[in-house]
Parts: sequence; C-alpha cells; structure tokens
Amino acid sequence: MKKSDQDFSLPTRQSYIAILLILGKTTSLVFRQLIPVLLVVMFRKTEPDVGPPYFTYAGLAVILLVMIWSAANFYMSWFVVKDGELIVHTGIFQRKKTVIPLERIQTVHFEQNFIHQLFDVHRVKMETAGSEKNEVSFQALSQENAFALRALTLHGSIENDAENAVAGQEGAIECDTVSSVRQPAIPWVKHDLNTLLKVGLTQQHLRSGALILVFIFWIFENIQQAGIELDSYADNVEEWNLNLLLLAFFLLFLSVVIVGISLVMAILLFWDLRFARVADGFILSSGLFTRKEKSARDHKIQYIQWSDNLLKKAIGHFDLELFQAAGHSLSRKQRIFVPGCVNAHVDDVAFALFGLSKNDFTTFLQVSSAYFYRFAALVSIGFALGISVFVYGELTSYAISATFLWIFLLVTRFLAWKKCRYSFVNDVLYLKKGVFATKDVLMPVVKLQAVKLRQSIYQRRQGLCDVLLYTASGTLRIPYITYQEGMATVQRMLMITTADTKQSWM
Amino acid sequence: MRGSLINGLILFHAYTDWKESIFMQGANKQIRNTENTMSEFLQPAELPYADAPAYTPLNSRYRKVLLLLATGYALVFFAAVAALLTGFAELVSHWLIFFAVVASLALCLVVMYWVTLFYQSAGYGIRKKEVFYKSGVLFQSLIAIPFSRVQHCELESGPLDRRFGLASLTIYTAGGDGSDLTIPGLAEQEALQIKQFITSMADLDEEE
Repeated sequence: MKKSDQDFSLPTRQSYIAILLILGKTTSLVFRQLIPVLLVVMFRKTEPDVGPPYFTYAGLAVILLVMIWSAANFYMSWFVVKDGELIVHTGIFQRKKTVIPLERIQTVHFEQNFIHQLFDVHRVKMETAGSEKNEVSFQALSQENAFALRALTLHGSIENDAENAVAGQEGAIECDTVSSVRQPAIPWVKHDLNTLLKVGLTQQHLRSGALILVFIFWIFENIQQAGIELDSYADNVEEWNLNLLLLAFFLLFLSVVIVGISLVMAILLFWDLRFARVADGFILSSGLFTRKEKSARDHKIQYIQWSDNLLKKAIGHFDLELFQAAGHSLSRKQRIFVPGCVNAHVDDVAFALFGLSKNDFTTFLQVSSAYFYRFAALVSIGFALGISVFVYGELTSYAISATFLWIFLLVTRFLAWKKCRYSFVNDVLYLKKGVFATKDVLMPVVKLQAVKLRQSIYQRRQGLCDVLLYTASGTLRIPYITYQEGMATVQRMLMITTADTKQSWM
Repeated sequence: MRGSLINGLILFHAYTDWKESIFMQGANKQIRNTENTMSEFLQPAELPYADAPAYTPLNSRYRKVLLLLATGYALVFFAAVAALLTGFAELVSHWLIFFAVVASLALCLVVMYWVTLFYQSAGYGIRKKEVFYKSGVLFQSLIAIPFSRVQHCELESGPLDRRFGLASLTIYTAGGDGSDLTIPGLAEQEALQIKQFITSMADLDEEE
C-alpha cells in the first residue's frame, strides 16, 4: 500500500537498460546498411603487407560512433508530464518535442522481450487516435515508471496503480486491487496450459492449411520458372496407387504440421494470458518470450465482438475482441484479442461496459429473405448458364465442380441469412452474423460516427436497404432490412448522438 | 416491361416521390423524448421517423459543370475511337465505322442523361444538429452525420468549379473513409457559410 514516488514533473529518462537496447537496434541498422561494404571487404583480393589496415580502423570507428550515438540518444531523450500533457524530447542534432495531452492517449502497450524480462523493464508504446506521427515509444522504462505512466493515462493519477507496481515486483502483472473494490463481479480470464492447448487446437486450421498450400504451389511455380523440371524427377513414380498413398501421407503430414504450428503459435502468443478489469478499463498481458501488454479504457472501446468456429463451438470457446478508437491504419493494433473465453467472460465484459448481459436481448429482427433469394437467383442464373456450357462442351469435371461450388454458395448464403439478425436494448446494438460459425457484436449507438443507408434498384423496389454503421474502429453492416427499419436506425442514432455533448465515443 | 431502363427510371422517380412523402409524414409525428427511448426497448417500426429535412438540391450551375465534364470525357473517348478506326481504315468495313460512331454518340447521350439523373438524385439537408446528404442513380445512398461527430471540414474547388463559382464541402468524422461526406456543387458563399456553421456547432458541442 505504498504510494508511488514517481514524479514525472521532473524530466525522467528511460532505464539504463535502454542504452543496451538502443545499441542493439542501431547496430543492426548500421550493419544492414553496411552489408555491401562488408561483402566487398571480405571478398577483396588480399595482398599481404600493403599499408596499414584501414578497413579495421574504419570498422572500429563505426563501432565507436554507434556506441556514442546510442549513449547520446539515451541521454538526450526524456519526458515530462506537465499540466495534463506528456512532453517527450528526443533527437540528437535535430531536437524534437512531442506534446500529447494525456486524455488523447488511446492505449498504452507494454512489451517485454527476453532482455526486458531479465532486467525487469518494459518497452512502452503509446498511441493516439489521431495520426501515427503522434505515437510515442520508449525502449525501456523501469517497471515502476511504466506502471505509474500507465496509471496516469488510464485513470489520470499515479496512486491507483502504485500498488500494482508492487504486485508486479512479485512476479506478475496484476492490477486487481482496484477492480476488487469497484467491480467484484469481474473475474479474470487466466489461461492455464490446458486452455492454451485448446486454443491452439481450435484455430482456423483450414485457413492456415490453404495458406501453406498456396505457399507450396508458389514455390513449385518459382522452381519451374527457374527452369528446373520437376516432372523429370517424378518419372520413376508412375504407379497410380503409390501416388495416392503419397498424397494421403502428404495430407496427413500437412495437417500435423498445421496443427503443430497453431499450437506453437498459441503457446508463444498467449502463454500466461491474463485479462483483467481495472478501475475503468481492461488490461491484457500474454506471451512466452516477448510479453505484450495492452490496455484500454472503457470509453475508448467502440464495440466488442466475440466469435467462434466449428471447433471452438464444440468446446464452448469464443475469441473475444475489444475494438478501440484508432487511426485507420492502426485499427488492427488497437484490438484487444482474448482467445479461449467462455460465455461468462463475454457476459462480464458486456456488463462492465454496457451494464447488460447478452441474455437481455430477447427479441431479434431478422434481415429480409431477399438477402438470400436475390443472391440465389443471380448466382443460379450465372451458374446454370456456365454449367450448361460445360455440359455442352463435355467438360464433365468442370460441370461437377461448378455444381458443388453453386451448392456451396447457396448453402453459405442461406446460413448467413439465417444467422444475420439484430436487436437494440438500452440503445446498445446486438448484431449477430456468421456462416458456420457465429460472430456477435455489441455496440452502443452513442459510438456511431455516421450512418449510411444504401439501396440498389432492386432494394428500392422492394422497400429494402443496407445500413452501414461507421464507428471509429470500423464499419458494421446490416444488410437487407426494410427501409422503415433503416430510417428508424438512422433516427435512433441521431437522437442519441446529437444528445451526446460529452463526446462519449472517445 | 418492368425491366426496361426507362421504366426503371420512372419507377425510381415514383420511388423518390414516395420516400419524400414518408419524410413529410414524419414531420407530423412527434419525436419521442430521448430519455424515454434510452430506457425502454422499442421495435424499430415503433420509432418515429426523422423529420428529415426538405432536401436542398445542388446548385444548378453544378449540372452545367457535370455536363461539361461529361462532354469533355466523351469527346476524348470519341477522338480515341476515331483515331483507332482511321488507323485501321483499310481493315474495317464502313458499317463498323458507322456503328462505332453511333455507339459513341449513344454513349455520350447516356452519360449526359446519367449526369442529369445524378444531379436530380443529389441533395443535402442541414438541421440544427446534423447534416444529411443523399445521392446516387443505381445505388442510392443517404448519409447522416451529427455535428457532435464532425472532426473537421474541408472546402475544395477545382479550376472548373472556380470558373462557375462553386465549391465542394467535405465533412470528416473519425469513422473512416466511407463515413466522410462530400457535398459537391455548392455556391462558394453558401459552402463557406455551411462550413462555418458546422464548425461552430461542432465546437459548441465540445465546450459544453
């Protein structure tokens, strides 16, 4: 319960470990630039005993310069927090001063690679909603400074998080003291190895499989373009049975590799994942070698989404994502992604953010059946024509594949239509989507930036429209609802956003 | 009969009329108290319509600009076709040349008709707290932005616009490219006034 003695009103530098990290970064940068020179030096004709070793001198000079540069870089960079603004000074010859109002900071990300973990320091990145130019990053801040800085941006004062810094010193990044006072109902998502294995095993294997296949084909293509005839190697293997066996083995091998990669990735990325509720935000930390920590304040979160796939559905897992306000190019980075959640987690987050559970949404409005029939009619005309051409031209295999594709498209669209529905409770939109899997979104209407109604000629005749809901973190689309419903959505959005004078979206 | 272009266009006009009439109905209904809707669950059909503004059409000079642009592009296209055909004059039949000329002219007319339709479809509305813009011939869209979500506004006028004393006003939100709203073909003075109004309203919201 000690009060943090971090005082950012005085210029604060990074931890001394930063010198090491800057040195590493600069060295790799310089090395990459010098590769051509080094190659020339290494492969030049060596004539013994000709003059002094200039190249060695030059090399030493470069190393010395790099070291001086890194040290100077460290000593010339500092930050101050004054009058609610974070002021960061950087640069050696060309001095740069970045001023960011604390309230503009959208997220604070922590990252620890092996070296950081060894010395108990954090790489800290701060992002604003505006532009990338306003991003600030520190190579290494001591744990106390990092926590205090985050506390400043997250709740506007250092005290709240001071304790967490203490807790952190005991080996974990935990911040539940605040949450236990204000939000006792919020549990943590904390993954043990068992959950982690499940997360790894239920990844989108089909997608990664397709990616790997594409990669293999790409390699084959390149090899053939390089003039190597692969067919000549295959001449010996002419027996059809053997080929089938090979194919089966190949597929088995491929699936093992894909699942293996998914598992390894899950363990690397989500090791010791902790998703915690703090006073008015969430903190997510995970990772085996490089630990990353992201945080988000409640009012920066534009909407939440939870999704599954068929495998995840079988074991009742969801991937929960919190979307934050962000510059367009940053929106992916601003996502807080929590895999392996269960229903209760989703409910807790929804309750914390919007004060309601997803079970409160009882009445759903479905999108018009024209969403399916219109698509089915258009696709069927195209495929019927195509297939008859194939049949006429006796291209049976093409005709069969086209038929399968046709059925697949119809079935997926039908499922998409069945799944797509929406509901409003307390001015929170619940949008359900998905084909085989489900993808559910909860978004408060107050987060909307703009609404667009769109109608094709067909939709106009049928009195239907698509509604596009623009938030600061992406666009949601409700297709094929009646024009009245669309206008009602516009109306609802306008009533709430025009009454909102506090700019509640950011 | 229903499928033909002309009938489609007639239907489209009938449709826009129908839509306008719905807006007029909405004007008679009272908007419910915001607090009320905050707490209770409403079926969208129960919600009152926005008393949508009577849309202001774009400046009539903008139609001229569009027609000029369309003619310009059509001429370039026509010249390209003519050059191509004279290059191969010995290889192609006279009928083909005749057909190409007719097709180009027809294309020209279609584009001009299209421009007229676009001009007629476009309109904007500004109310105390929000701005609307509708446009589109085949795909019609209606976008609404409350002033409280406006990030900044931008006036732009190209050489042709300046010649006709026009400007286009773009209103940016934090919602990404799709959510930005551009009202083309405003008279310069009007555009400036709208911009100042929106900026002042957006500022007012922040101060409160």
